[in-house]
Amino acid sequence: MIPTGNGRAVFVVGDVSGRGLSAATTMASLRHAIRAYAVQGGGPAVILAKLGELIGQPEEGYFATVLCGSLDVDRHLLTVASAGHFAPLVVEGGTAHYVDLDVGPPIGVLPRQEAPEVTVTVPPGATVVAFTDGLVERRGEHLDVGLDRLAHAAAGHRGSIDDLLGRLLVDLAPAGSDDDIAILGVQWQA
Amino acid sequence: MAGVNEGSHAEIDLSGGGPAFMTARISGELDIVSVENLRGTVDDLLARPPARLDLDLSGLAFMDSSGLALLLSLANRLGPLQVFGASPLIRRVIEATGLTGVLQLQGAAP
Repeated sequence: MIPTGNGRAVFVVGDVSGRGLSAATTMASLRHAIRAYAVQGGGPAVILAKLGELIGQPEEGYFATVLCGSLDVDRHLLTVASAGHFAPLVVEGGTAHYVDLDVGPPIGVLPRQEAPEVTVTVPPGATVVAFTDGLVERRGEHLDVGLDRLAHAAAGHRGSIDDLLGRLLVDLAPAGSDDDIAILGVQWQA
Repeated sequence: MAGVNEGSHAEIDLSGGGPAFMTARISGELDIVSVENLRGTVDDLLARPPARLDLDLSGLAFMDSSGLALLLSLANRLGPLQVFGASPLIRRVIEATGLTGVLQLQGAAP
């Protein structure tokens, strides 16, 4: 989460495929680059396009999925773009739905990155949840089953954002999973 | 990836043979463990790549992002690949990752 001034902030959630040295160094350079691009004032689509230029097409075929969002806190606006990553979940008043988003290819796949951004209004009290695949993916199961499980678990929740994120991790992370799981929540207090 | 299985197993079979056109049939469970067993075959393939390579994934039961990375290493060199026979699970992984332009989903294996 990167504050960019004037009641705005940029957030990112991502995952680099592979666990070797190249994956680790890629993750580190992406993190630095995203911070720089966010401060320069670009929106999510611009940030992802710049990341695509930075990484290019690694010969090893590794790639990074990145969800990038920007928040306009006062106007209750969320703008997101995705490079191969799951759309965020919006939890409000006992319901939960995924932001309807055209997912572009991951960073590291095409020489020119194109990920269209979409802007949605987030109601007061609603929570936006972004996450990595370890939270929803199960071997031998259709991805939609895992995504539905997450939406269902989040929709039934009453309580603080900390409780929500903690419970989702406890309820959904498979026992013995060795995948890194990241989950990020943003709640509008009013 | 969720639930990596130490015993996961994947195979790759090449057919077609000629320099113009080959099909790579990948079967089993393609994850961070099994993908290493295919690396040698894929490297050999990339050392003398055919003009066209199709993928037959009809025998593939599971694929994580390591498996996707292996397929992308082929597509990076050869251009967008035609993918045949992918199950609904595998199709969804490719779609969710925004890769349908590079791994172009077709119908049943010819």
